[in-house]
Amino acid sequence: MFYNNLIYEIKLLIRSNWLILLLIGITLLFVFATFNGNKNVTKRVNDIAEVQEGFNKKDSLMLATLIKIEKGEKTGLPYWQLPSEPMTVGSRYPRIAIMHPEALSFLATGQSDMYTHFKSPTVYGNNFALDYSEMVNPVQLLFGNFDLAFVIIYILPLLIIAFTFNVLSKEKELGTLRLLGAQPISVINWLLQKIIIRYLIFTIITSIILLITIALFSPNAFNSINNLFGLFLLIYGYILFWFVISFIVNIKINHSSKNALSLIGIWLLIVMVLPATVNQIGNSLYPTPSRLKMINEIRLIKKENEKKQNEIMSEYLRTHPELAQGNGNDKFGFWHNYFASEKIMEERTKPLLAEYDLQLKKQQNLIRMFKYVSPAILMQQSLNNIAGTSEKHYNDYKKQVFEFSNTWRDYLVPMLFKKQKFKVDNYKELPQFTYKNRIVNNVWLNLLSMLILSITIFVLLGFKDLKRKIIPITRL
Amino acid sequence: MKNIIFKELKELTRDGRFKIAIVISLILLVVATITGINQYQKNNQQYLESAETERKVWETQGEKNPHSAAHYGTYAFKPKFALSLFDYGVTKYTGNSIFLEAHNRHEASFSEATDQTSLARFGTLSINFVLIYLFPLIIILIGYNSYTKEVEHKTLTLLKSQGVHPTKLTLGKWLATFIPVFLLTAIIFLIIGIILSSLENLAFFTWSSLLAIFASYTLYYLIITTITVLISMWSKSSGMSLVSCLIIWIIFSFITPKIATNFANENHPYPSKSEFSTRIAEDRKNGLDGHNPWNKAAKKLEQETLQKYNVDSLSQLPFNYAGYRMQKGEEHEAKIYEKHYNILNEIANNQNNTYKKLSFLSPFFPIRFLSMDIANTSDNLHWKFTKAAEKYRIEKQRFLNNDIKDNSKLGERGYKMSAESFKKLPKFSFTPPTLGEILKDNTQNIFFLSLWFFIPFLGLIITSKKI
Repeated sequence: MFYNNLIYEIKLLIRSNWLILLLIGITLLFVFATFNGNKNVTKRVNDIAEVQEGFNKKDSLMLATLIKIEKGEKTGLPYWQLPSEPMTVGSRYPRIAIMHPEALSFLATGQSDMYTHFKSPTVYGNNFALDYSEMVNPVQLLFGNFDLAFVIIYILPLLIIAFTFNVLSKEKELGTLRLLGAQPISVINWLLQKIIIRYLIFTIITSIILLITIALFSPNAFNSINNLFGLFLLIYGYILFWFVISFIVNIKINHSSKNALSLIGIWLLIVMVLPATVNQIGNSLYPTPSRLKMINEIRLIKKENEKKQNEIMSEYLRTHPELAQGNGNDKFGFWHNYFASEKIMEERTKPLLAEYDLQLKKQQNLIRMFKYVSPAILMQQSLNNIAGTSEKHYNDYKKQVFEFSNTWRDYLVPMLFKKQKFKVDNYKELPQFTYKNRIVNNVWLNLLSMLILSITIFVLLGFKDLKRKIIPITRL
Repeated sequence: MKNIIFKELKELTRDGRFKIAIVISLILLVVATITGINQYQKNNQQYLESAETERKVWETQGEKNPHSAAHYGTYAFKPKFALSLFDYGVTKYTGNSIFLEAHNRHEASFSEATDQTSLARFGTLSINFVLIYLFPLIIILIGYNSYTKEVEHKTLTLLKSQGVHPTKLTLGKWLATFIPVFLLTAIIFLIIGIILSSLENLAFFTWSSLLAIFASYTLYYLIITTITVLISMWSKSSGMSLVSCLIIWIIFSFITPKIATNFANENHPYPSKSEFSTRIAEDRKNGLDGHNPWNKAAKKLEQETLQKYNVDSLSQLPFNYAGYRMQKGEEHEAKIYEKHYNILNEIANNQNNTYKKLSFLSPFFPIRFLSMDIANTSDNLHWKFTKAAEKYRIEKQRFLNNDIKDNSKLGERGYKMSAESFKKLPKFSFTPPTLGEILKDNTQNIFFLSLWFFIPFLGLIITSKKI
């Protein structure tokens, strides 16, 4: 019977132009979205390349100067710009910590439009509290991007709804349902088979088009085959969820326009209303710790500390280290003092910032639990995870930069205290930053949650009808 | 015509779907209002406290070298505007505080969105969220079958035979679709107004702004109503009509804004932060440095000053030249910043104009921009705030540099400004533009909205005669 059904269904779909429509629709959406996603990644790569180029230029100048100094030639630079001083290297020639895009970054813009992807922590100052936000027009952030994640989360469900909303009700409205009832298969089973067949057709079409689109526009993605595989599994899970919903609505309501309306209502609820409501209520219940308060507190600490810092060095020089005059041993003395005074400030503010960070992390973890409220949220977070653009990735990047800033300091500061000069050999062994994606992407867990949700809905709402195997005559 | 309206409305009250939609929307509105008020009050309290604490920190810093005080700096905080309770606009994506110090112009830091999870990107439930996304759906729900049901029930010919003027019939159905949502919106705005005017510590609330937003939304609903009825007239069946209306709604409010973002980004890309600061540093390198008396531009200034006051050496000047040079350097740096920020502002404007130009694709753009502009939560307002803060920073620098210039001697290292003098610096205050100014800025949006209303309405009248 299943085989008959399958053949019949495929014939039907081909004749009704539905398949062609679906094919064209999905192709256009995927191609446009991938194209956009790629453009965003390209901009990111170009920005990085530009910074890298500036950095390389500066570095080669520094290296040339170092060689000159070692040869005893004149450099023409004031003493506080000489790269032979470790502190000058530490503050004027910082390394850049770059966060390169992942192979699948084109998939979801995620949080990547808000943050910078390169940072240069220096040897002093509070590297714990660097500002990572990128320059961006807030209107763009408000409206969002047309990327693959948008197409998958928002538009695929709409296509599924259009593809399935009247599977049963159409038979009723055409009057063929009674005929069906006379067949040696229960109507519910017949409907289930039909929905399964459509699910298979839909996923096959989606997979093939997505695969071709990625192969054409972002072949790099195949380097990260695990993530790509995860992506497909997640899409299958998400599509399954919507087919289950459609199946339930088909048997429960069984009236074409009412079906469509209910499905649109559910879509609205899941992709829009629930996330927005959960976001608003969540932030009301667990507000992010106030940044304004944090600023106030840091300012008060700063005020208190000024006296202590003044004891170490003149307040004037503290803000303008480049104006320190002196020679010989004095120079080192200045840097020692400068470093000591900065350190006081850092040591006092760090606990406050760490406390703030901890609070924020707790709050974010709480909010993250809300992903189970709507499959759309679950899907968004999963896609961001795969794309390497989730807030977790950026938090971890910040952490890595901070860790690196300590390595950087630990390399240079001892040189200052040992009164060593910075040499070409030192340049070669300077610590380098490489970003590592340390975030577990949780594909399986998220997929499992999606499956459990779909099965629960199916069992709770559809199973009774399925067991009864007949549709109550009132609904026929 | 009255009869038509009454008949349609009566039918509506019997429609379960309509009731469900209204109830859900109202529940969401209540949630949005309560959480909104809650957040507004907390944020506003925080703002007031922070501004006060910061001022106190400034006033009690004790005697200090003015230039050190300039580096110690102060903060400008963005006030919370009353109508931000209604429409959050872009506030989540812009920072609320700007650090004001010597030599450097800073960006507003710590936007809420950078502290939130990606859940925030789905949007936030606010009153405006319900009004801009959900209410059009209710209109569609009411109006999608206004004509198709007559066709399906075969009552259209019956109606015609009764001698109803076709245009009157159309207007009747059109009004019947519009009135329920209009009444609902009017009540909601009235309640918002009453709630807002009874809140304490409310900043910049005016009934006229609220009324202006109400008028804008009414116009938007008129557009949606007209399009819905028009589609119903053109459609052969209710199902087709509903699907077409929904597709149009989705294109209007979801798809075009996102496509427009990609367009805007493509045609007018923002520089990265590091690129931006590199350009500024480049310009600064060649200019006057208030600290560096050996710089070429500084030498020139020295010559000019000596000539101007007709003296031979700096010590003969009637003021401390160090303070004077510092101030000139500051002014020069401020100009460089102004130049670059103006370029940036230009890019932002171009991007926003891209959105506005695409208004012919969707009336969602003009209403979205108009709504947040009147609510003082737009990026226009943020630009005005950053400019005001910069103006204040320059003023503050002048105040401090003038103190060096007038009260200290040339070459004096340990000079300190008296503790009392810090209190003389005027406080930072920011007044948002008036409603008149905002509306004037938004002429284009209002024009597009009107166009979106008139053209379909004309189509409605013409079609009505053909049916």
